Amino acid sequence: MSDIVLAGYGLAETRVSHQREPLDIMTEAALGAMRDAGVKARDIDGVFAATAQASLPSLALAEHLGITPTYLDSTVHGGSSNMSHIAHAAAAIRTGAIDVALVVYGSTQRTALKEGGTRAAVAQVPPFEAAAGASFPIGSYALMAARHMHEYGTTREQLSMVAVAAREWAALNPAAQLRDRITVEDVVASPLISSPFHKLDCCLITDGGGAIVVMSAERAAAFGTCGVKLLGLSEASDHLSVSAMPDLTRSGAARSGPAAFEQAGLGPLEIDTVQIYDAFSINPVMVLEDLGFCKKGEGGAFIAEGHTMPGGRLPLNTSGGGLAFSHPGMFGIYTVIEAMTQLRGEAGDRQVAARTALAHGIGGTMSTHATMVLAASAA
Amino acid sequence: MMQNITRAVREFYALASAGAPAVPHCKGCGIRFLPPRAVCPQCGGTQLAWHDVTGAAGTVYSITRKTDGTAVVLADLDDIDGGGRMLAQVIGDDVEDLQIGDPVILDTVEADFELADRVPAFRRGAAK
Repeated sequence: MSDIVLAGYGLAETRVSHQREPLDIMTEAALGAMRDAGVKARDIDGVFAATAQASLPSLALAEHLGITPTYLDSTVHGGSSNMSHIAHAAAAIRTGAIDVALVVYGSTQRTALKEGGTRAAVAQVPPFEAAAGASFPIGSYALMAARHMHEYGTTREQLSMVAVAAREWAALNPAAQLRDRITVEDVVASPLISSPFHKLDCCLITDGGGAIVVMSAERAAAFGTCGVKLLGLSEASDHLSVSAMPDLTRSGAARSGPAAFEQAGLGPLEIDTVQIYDAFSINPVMVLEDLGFCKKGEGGAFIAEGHTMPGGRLPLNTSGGGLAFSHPGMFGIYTVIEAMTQLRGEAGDRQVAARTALAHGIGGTMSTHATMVLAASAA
Repeated sequence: MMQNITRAVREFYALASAGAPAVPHCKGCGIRFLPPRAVCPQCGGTQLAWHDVTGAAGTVYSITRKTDGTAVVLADLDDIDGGGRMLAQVIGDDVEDLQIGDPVILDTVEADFELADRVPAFRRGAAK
């Protein structure tokens, strides 16, 4: 079976809203990834795109970029969609259906929010949440946090430390949007949104785009690039509505994580850096536990002890994550791009010593999970 | 317009709107569950009926409060034995100190909602 590599990535500028069109921001990211991987439009035969703001996105993007693909995939199921794309691309490459895949996300949700008062990715409140008058999606995650606090004694201060740590990393990342350091007091002093969450427990709302080029290791070598090795990628989901989530303190990461580790032949102790979709402060707490980086119920203490901070033994969300770097919606692809950046040694002031990395995407309300294990190229 | 509305969702809110909230009941294996679905999550059966839960007793499983103080809870209903919980707001003037583990009673409340004039809601209190 062919080894699969992530041969290049591109990010569209995200710091300010640009009044650009969604397909333009996706194009900027895609062209960046193609340049980075050293591929031209004619080299690409698979186009994978997710966005809540385009019609037939993979087809529209293919035409715009001058690609005439044999494989199109516009799978959308929230924040881990692009990680599903990479899984589909890897499978298609291994069967010989395609050689080179382009995976793209983009959104102008900040611009759209300012113009129209709605965010495309969450404009549709599901019926049960709407009927209950719950804030969406914040209320669903807030219910998980409240239950986690009740069952395991996770504290308000521990949740705040997730946001504090995100800012510590963002302070080292010139591309991050919120680079001012904060304290645990700042988090609870920010406006209450849906208890226990305050504003600083919640991710940013930004414009932005990201893209990744996927190919076989052999093909990458032929292009003169080595890329980042994909060692494992597994997915799991068990609900959409929070009312169908079996246990609010346990996520699908408990299934996707072990499966991805098994494929990779690695375990949590052999992972050098972790990137988890931090839509809300409870996410890294629960997912670190479910992936086996700490015992169940100890995620809050693990983070509060500083292990995930700059200088800690498990650098987490080194870009600043959705809480402080950028959050244009379906953030899963950004967890992969930051893992690639670290493994390539291109992370500047926030660079950590990393030969292996884990990226974890989440969609819906802790509904879809995709765990990816990556390794630096040996070359 | 709201998406992901199914016949089961419409019926669920029509019953609540009429003041008689109900949960799905599998005619095959007998379990009662939430949220409403096309297929029984235990036996895979598709012969489903509605089980009246007017005034049913429940227990707060988790709670969040919005900026206006409104409490929204996920509650386990005693009548549910096949998984799933009821997501609803809690009405009444005694909900300020409501917490996880407290008993609640199912009721309905007027709502500005596309599918129904009344939706399921909880009040504080234990079953009589």
